[in-house]
Amino acid sequence: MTPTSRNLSVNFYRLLLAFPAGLALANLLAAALAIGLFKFGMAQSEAMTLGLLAAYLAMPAWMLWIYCTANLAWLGAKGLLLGLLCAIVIYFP
Amino acid sequence: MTPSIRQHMAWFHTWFGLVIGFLLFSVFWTGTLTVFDKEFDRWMHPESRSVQSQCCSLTAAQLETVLLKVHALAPEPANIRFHLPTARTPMPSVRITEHDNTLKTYYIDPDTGKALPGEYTLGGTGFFFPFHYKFNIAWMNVGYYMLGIAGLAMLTLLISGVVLHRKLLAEFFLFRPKKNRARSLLDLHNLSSVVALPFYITITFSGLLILFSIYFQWATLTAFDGDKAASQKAMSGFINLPPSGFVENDNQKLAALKRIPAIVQAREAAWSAALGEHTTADAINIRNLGDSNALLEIRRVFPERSIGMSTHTDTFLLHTGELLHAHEPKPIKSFTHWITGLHFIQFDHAALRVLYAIGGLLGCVMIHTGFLFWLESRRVQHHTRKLSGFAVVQALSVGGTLGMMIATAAFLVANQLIPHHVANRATLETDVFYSVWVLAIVWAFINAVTYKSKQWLTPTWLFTALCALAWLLNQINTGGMVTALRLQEMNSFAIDVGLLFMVASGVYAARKLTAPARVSRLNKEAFECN
Repeated sequence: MTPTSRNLSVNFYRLLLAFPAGLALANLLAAALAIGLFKFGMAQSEAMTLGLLAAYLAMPAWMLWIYCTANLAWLGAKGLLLGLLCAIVIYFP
Repeated sequence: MTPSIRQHMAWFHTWFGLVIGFLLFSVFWTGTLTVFDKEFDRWMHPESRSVQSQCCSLTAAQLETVLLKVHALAPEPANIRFHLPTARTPMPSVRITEHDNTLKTYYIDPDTGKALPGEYTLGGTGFFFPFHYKFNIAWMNVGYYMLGIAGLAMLTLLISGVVLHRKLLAEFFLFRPKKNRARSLLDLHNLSSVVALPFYITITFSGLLILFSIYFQWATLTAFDGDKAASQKAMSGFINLPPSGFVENDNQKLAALKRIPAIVQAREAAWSAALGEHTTADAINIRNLGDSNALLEIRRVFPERSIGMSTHTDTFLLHTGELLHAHEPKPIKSFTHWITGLHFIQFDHAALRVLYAIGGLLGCVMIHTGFLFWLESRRVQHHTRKLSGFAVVQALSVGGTLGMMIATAAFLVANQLIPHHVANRATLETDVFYSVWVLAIVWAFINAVTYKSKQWLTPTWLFTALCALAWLLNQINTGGMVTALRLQEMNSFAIDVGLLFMVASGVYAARKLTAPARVSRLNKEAFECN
């Protein structure tokens, strides 16, 4: 099956998913990096800025990855795992 | 068979580009105009063109004159943003936000203290600039999120485009105008994409980075344990004190305002000593003027001779003159300020600004030729199968791209035609912009569904005629280019030159559209379909 013949609605569904999911994951990543780096002794504003830069760079790649991944269940599992890891860094005392 | 990555990217690039392209075109077009936003201000508001004898600095006495005028203009407690003069904005400008959130803008003559109301027009900084970053939609930050989607889409489209075009370097040198139309359009699309690819990546990434506080609000708050004030202080040096409720009398307020010039001079001297070069403040913010907790913020936002911005932000308690916080960004923050400075292009370099505008126009060409290629490559197929999608895309292409350009030209014509004394004339100007834009889209839809020809020719001529009219009216109303040259007022002169360039481009494009086409058999069918 070629991409042109793929169901349009499925592709747009993936795109719709890619934006909020990409932004949510990027927020998690930025916060986790900022908190992690701060705990390692970096100034808070510097840690936050570095986290933001990394998240911004990751976002487009993330979006394309979400869009290109054929198996949505496998994608969801990976996203969940990453989110969980970030959440541990953020909320672990 | 699972599609390859390139097939995925091809689908993504084609269809996503089509859906988001209209949004992207308006961002690129208004972004290109915003490169010259202050020049548009001078062109659209002739009275603000007054050039001081000593550009770009105020003496302590002039600053005091301006501040006393501010006192007269803001009798109640208010927030005041004060921009010191630059070569592009020769008069100091003041924005007063009153208690009921009413915003008033004035230009103030520092010698006489005469205030010039800024409500005359929104100009470039009040209309094109906010359209560029939030489509002039303030409700619930919707405009910012639309821009975020467009920006992120642009980055992904660039990545998918690079993956898609394996012979990227070869395409830089490839343009075959004598091939069939679809081929020529694709060549032009590739050429305009590759030639400014680093510019597109930089400008899109930096644009997204500027608005981190909107898109990464949750991350920033979480990293600072939910303390918004702490995050603002650490990230941008912004501190605020709640109003004490104790309102100062007129004498106390005047005394506080008169203290400001000396504080500014002292801070400029301290910055200069630290940096080893003459350094001046370019913005002064006063929060809660009239309250005993009023704060004075002295900033150096856009240094003239460097790309990096927001190098200094010092905050004082206005009542006592006590320094509360001196913010100097650390290395990583300075790096992001350098990136965002690349986007704001407020540094003093006219030639580089022209290059930015060329990059922006190339972006418009890239998006526009993307639409045209989509249309040309599907014209026959859609016509044969009686698909309605073609007409919709064609109408949106005409209305969304040329329609916006026509609306811009109409906005400038309205600025020249609406009399000075008319109430809400700034709103009238923007009404003209939106009305013309909507009309252009409606016209394009009617034309597309009735299969009328000259879909592109009529709007091209209209845009050209409106640009010529705007230029002509400025020559009649203000003396135009001759007066500008005589007074060495290069800001409005630049806009006149830009308008003439648009007229020349429009005439060239229209002539090309009317020229007999070299068509293949396939293209003959295509013409018949149109």
